[in-house]
Amino acid sequence: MKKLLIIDDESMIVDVAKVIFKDLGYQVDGYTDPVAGEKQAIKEDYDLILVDLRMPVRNGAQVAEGILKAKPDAQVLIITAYPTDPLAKQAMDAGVKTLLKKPFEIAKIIDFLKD
Amino acid sequence: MSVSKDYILEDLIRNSEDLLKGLEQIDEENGFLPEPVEKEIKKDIQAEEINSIDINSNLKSDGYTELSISQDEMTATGDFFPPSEGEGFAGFEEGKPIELEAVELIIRTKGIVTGILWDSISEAIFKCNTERVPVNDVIIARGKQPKNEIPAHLEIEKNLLEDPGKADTERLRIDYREMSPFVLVKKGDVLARVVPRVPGTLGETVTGKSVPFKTEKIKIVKPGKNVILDNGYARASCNGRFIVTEEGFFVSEVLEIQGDVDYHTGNIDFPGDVIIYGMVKDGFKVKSGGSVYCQRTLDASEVICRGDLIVNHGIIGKKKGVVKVNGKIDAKFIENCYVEAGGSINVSTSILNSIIHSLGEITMGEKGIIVGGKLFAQNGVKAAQIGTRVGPKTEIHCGIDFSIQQKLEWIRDKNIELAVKLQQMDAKIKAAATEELKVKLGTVRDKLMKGIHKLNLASASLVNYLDKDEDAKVVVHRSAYPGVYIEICHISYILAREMHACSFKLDKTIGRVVVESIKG
Repeated sequence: MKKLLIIDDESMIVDVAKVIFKDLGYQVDGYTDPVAGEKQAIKEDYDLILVDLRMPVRNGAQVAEGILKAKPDAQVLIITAYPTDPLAKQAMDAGVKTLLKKPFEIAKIIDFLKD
Repeated sequence: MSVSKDYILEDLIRNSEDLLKGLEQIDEENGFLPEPVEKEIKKDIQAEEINSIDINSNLKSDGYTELSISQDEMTATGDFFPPSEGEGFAGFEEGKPIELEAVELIIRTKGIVTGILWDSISEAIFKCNTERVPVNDVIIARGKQPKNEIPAHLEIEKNLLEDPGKADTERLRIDYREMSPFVLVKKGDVLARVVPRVPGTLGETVTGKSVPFKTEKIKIVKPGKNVILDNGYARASCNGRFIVTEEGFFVSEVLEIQGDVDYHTGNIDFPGDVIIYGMVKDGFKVKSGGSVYCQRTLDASEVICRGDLIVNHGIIGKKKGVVKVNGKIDAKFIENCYVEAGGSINVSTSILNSIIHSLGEITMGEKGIIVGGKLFAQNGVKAAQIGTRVGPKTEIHCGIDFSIQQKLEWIRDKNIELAVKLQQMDAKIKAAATEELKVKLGTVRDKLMKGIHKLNLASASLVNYLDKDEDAKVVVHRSAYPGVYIEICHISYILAREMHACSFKLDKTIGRVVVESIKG
């Protein structure tokens, strides 16, 4: 079973993602605390990690940087309402493959997990 | 001293004035008398003469009849004179009354054979004999009028000739945009009916002569283009606009609007092509089963067509305009508009702050710029410039089928709604006081879960059709500016610096968007 991690400070998004992706047959872990989420992403192997861009304490670009620094092959996707947000560029430069529009794009996630 | 009114005198004055009326118009030098005076004179003389006859007539006379036939011989008229008393051979005698046989003899003598009105004759004789009064101008025979021949012809359906723009007076409010002066018909509609020939019949004079019939002059309407004759009916052979001219009628597959689409034309809903020689004004809609050609601008309007859309000037959406076209779009510019095209989009100068979807390619002119908004072009984008140094951000999405993307987004939103409800249901089930309530809520929860599952399956299936063109490119001939967001088959690229003469494409081997120079 493929594993998916979602790090978003909005608990509703995390809960909803869990429901939907569990139903799709994935194992889903969710964190609302970006620091704890980053630690978890480094500790365990995930097929796909979704990180919200705008979060307090540690933004998504920083979290993605941290994860990719520890695990350069990790598949990290950024969730953002604004693809032209400067932080998105920072995350892309750190090695994030693409951006997902908020709240998240199920199709894109399915596509990435399929690959 | 009171003076009593002298009525006799007043009467006299009035009578005198009456007599003098009109005399001032007499030209005494030339003896010219005005017409009323002439008439008056004739009347007076006639009365005088008649009176003189009456006065002198002391002889008895028998009743008699005088018959006359009209010039066209279609009527015969009789004057019936009563008998009178007077001096006869044997002293004072009674004249003989008119007898029917005598009248019949005169009728025969005159050669009257057709349409003799015996009842009228009898009535006149009776009246004349009994009341002793002359009975004049009695129609005693009437000829048979010929019946005109009516040639076979087409009669246009009445409803097609009514004013289609006539207001429905029962409606309190009328949206004049919904009223159209065009009569639109569908394939197979009855346009006219064949009225068969009605043969003419000969007439007959009272003297028995034949009167030939005429052929009625009917305005012949000839069926024209896109009209077929079928079993006595003229039907439309295609959808289109019904047009009647001096020569006939036809169905035009092309609707030509000589001016603007505005309150004069109302909204347009035409099954064929539409040519607009003016502009489509703010708030008006154009729907076409074919292509639409607009010589000027589309101004915050709604245009939906199955074919192509060609706008000679541009599309000014004012954030309200919606354009949905199954074919391609050609325009000089597009501003603040929502656009969907089943084919490619060619814009010569600029696309500004618009949401554009194309299942083909978006191609800008030599100096064409794209600034602001979001563009979804399945087969890529070509422009001279994308974004600006300080202007609004621009997003370009390529390689995907936007219609699938829209469906997936709808599923996603529905799915999130269901998932939120499921969370709430779980909380309620946890707090449920009774087992019965738990079971009841559990049933709803199961239904929600099933809904989510169904939508997930649809997503998983649709996603296979989402990526259409992994070779789609974004080609920039001149400059692309920082902040421009490019996504090709889900892979993002954000411009960090100004770039010139380059193309962006998906490198499938590394799963990233790469930039290539197109210089030289």
